[in-house]
Amino acid sequence: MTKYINIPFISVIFISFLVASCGAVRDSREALFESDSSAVELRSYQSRVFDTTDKKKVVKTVIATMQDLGFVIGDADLEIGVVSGSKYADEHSAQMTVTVRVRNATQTLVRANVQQHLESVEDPAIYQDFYVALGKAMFLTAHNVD
Amino acid sequence: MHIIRQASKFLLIFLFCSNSAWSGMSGGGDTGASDAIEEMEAADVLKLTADSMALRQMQTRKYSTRDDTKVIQAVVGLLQDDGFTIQELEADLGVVLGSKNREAIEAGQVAAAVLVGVVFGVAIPIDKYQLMSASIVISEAPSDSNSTIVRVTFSRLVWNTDNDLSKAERLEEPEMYQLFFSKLSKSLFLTENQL
Repeated sequence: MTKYINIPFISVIFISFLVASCGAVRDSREALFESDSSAVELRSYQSRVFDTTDKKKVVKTVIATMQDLGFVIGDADLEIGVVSGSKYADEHSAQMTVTVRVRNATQTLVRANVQQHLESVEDPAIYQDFYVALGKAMFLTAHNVD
Repeated sequence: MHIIRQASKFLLIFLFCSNSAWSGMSGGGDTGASDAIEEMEAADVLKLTADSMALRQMQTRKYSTRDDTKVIQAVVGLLQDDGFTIQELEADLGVVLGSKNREAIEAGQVAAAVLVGVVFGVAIPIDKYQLMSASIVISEAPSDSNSTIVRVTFSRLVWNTDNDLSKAERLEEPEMYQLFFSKLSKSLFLTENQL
């Protein structure tokens, strides 16, 4: 009876279940479009509005704030209004991109994106921390996007 | 009895070596406790910490000039002196990013790896090469419109002999920053004198 038990076969099945239970995905290409939140929701907690139209001042302050938060500035462009940086801290390294654009005659819109631990950060509280620091550095209040 | 004593001695050596050789390696051997710490730190990724200001002081110097172009040229010249290539330069914002690839083999790690190899016959990966970066931001001093603030951050990524990323860290030795700024003073002088 025992000779019908195929040990390698059983091990393969066992390992497959083990791998599946560890949260492995069916197709890793699906990570291309992955966000758990809706685009509107995502933009609302990643963005704030400031009562200024001085784009250069906002971009410079974003750079200074990111440096204070321990980010290494990797890329910046005033015309487009983009700043990117990385925070290197071994097990919790993070990448961040901030965009700045003048929204209307009196306001500038700032949006931040952060990824950490191979995932985008989707905790509004973490973005709030950034805007508290940025608001202080700009001497302006960060408003929610209406 | 003798065998047990020998075995435990080897185990101690192994633990010591693996600790020193694999320190700083990310991802490997996470326990529940370290996960909890990691999450705490992950949530704090965009929070200002107590040492944020100390870090800013170490990374910043004020120069009594308002000529941003001259300062950027001096920074670029200094990076070139030290073998960096320029990856990114945005003059409007005063942002310069330089980087270089260098060897990262350290004697201590090699010794530990050799010891483990001889005793246990297993090869453990050691650090092999690194990408070193210097990110510099130049801006007008907030309190003094005749001065320029220069802030630099050094960081590096290290890969081991398995081509895995073994370290991703900001370099925080104060001496590095002091040396950079003393070199920048010199470079500003050379730039001013058309060298």
